[in-house]
Order: sequence, then structure tokens, then C-alpha cells
Amino acid sequence: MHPNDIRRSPYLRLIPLGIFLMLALLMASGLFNSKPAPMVSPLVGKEMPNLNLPQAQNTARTFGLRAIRNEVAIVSLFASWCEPCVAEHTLLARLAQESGARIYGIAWRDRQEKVLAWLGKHGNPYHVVMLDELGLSTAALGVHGLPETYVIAPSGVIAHKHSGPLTEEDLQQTILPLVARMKNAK
Amino acid sequence: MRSRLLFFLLLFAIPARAVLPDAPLDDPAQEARAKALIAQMRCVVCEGEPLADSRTEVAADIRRAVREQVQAGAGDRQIKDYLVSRYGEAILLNPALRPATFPLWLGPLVIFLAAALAASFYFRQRRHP
Repeated sequence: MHPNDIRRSPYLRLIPLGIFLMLALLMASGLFNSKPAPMVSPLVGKEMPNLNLPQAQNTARTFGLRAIRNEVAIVSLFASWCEPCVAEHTLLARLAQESGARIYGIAWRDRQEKVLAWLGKHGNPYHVVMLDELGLSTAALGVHGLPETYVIAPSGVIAHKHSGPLTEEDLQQTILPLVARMKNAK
Repeated sequence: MRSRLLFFLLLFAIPARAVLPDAPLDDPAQEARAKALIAQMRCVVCEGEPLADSRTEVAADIRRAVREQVQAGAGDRQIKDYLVSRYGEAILLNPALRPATFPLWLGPLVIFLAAALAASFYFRQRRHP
């Protein structure tokens, strides 16, 4: 075949069209994607960061997040001033009961007297309550706001992170099955 | 999706709590470095707002964390990696050039080259019928 014939080949002209069609299809599929996948936090799969905080019930004592080991645990960020946290609170109590996992609470940007009063009023499902007055946990735990919930594997690795209030659906579809799976794998 | 939207709306419904202005670092060189780093980041809880401008508590905490790490002697790369590992590449105004972001950076260039190549074939063909 003569080399010039290759340049004259009509198929070559179709290449840019082909690229355009592929891109168009890719972007169109995005348009019809009615339920975008929830963003997985980059912290999932990483070890729980090292953070020591005073305990709300006795600020002279501290608790370190790295001490959460050899158990499937939940870490829950809340505050006495957080409206959506109240609704989630009853779910947390059930979560602790039904899953058998211990819940470690962090009162975020809150004051001791307010936290203790709030726990007295709404109940205390937490094994330990840490007091983070200054928001030291924010950058450390990739906090976006309240509430935040972390499921921790026995190795100390963050298995799941949920931003926003937990719903019954989250509990039934995600959290409880995950905790059960990890407990059985032990 | 709905619960996430509700969460953000409820967050704004919480009575406004004072966010104190940032406390600058004592060492001016360190403070300058911290400011330069903060200038490269966006507020992760506000749509598109730069981290430096945001008055939210989360943004204030992240800015303080940057200052604390600068003061502790951490390098720029280390501090960025720390925050990216918590908030994802989205926290950086300029996503790093890594294998994962190659398509993002090089995509337009590749498409342009392909178009230029196709155009050159078209014009050559016109000259040599």
C-alpha cells in the first residue's frame, strides 16, 4: 500500500469523533447517576490517630484513643449544644446494647458542666467520655461537623466513618452488620 | 444524600457560636510559613471558600493545627499529607500531581494533541488529493 493511502484513510478521521463520543458517553452516564455513592472518608483503613484528651467526668485523668484496642468499638463525637445529636443519642444507646460494642464519646468544643448536665438529662451510653474543649480532635480525626461516628476494628484501624446523624437505616444496613462481621472474624 | 443535606442545614440552624480570631505564632517566619500553607487550602465544610477566609469552627481548628505543626517543626509536605489523609485531596486548592490525578492534569492536553494530530492529517490530505 502506498504510504499516502494511510493518510487518506477515512478511518483516521473517525478517531477524534471516537474520543469525543467516549467522553460524551462517560459524562452522560454521570447525568443519569441518580444516587451518587457516599464519599468514603480517607481515614477508613488507617489506624486511629493518637490523641489524648481529659475525661469529662474527671478532667484530671486523660484517655488516649490509641488505647482502644482488641475490641470492636465505636467513637462518637457529640456536644451538649448539638441539636441533631439528641436524636442520635437514643440510637447510640441501642447500638451499644444490640452490638455489644463499647462506645467512646468525645464531647467536641464543649464545657465540662454542660456535658455532664446533658448526659444526666439524656443518659450516658458511653464507656468513656472525653472532653475536647478546644477542638483538638478536629484535624486529627478529619471532623466536618457534628455528629461524627467511627467504627474501630480490634487492630485499631478505622473500619467506617459516618458524618452526620445516624439513622435507623444506617444502624440496620451498615453499622450493626459491620460490627457483627468484625466480631465474628476475631 | 437527604440526611447529609439535612445535617448541613441543621448545622446552620445551631445558634451562632463565636469563633475567636486565630492566634498567630510568635515567630514571624513560622507564622509566614503557616499562612502560606493555609493559603493553599480550602475550607472543607464550606462550598469553595478558601480555608483562610472561613469563620467556621472546623476551619479555625484546621488552621490552628497547621500552626501547631509548623511550630513543632513539621515540613510543608508532611503537614499537607497529614490533612490530605484526613480530608482527601479536596482540601488542597491545587491537587498534587500524582498518578491518581494525572488524568485530571493531562486530560485536556491529551485531547488537544489528539485534535491537533487529526487536524494535521485532514489538512495534509487536502494538499495531496
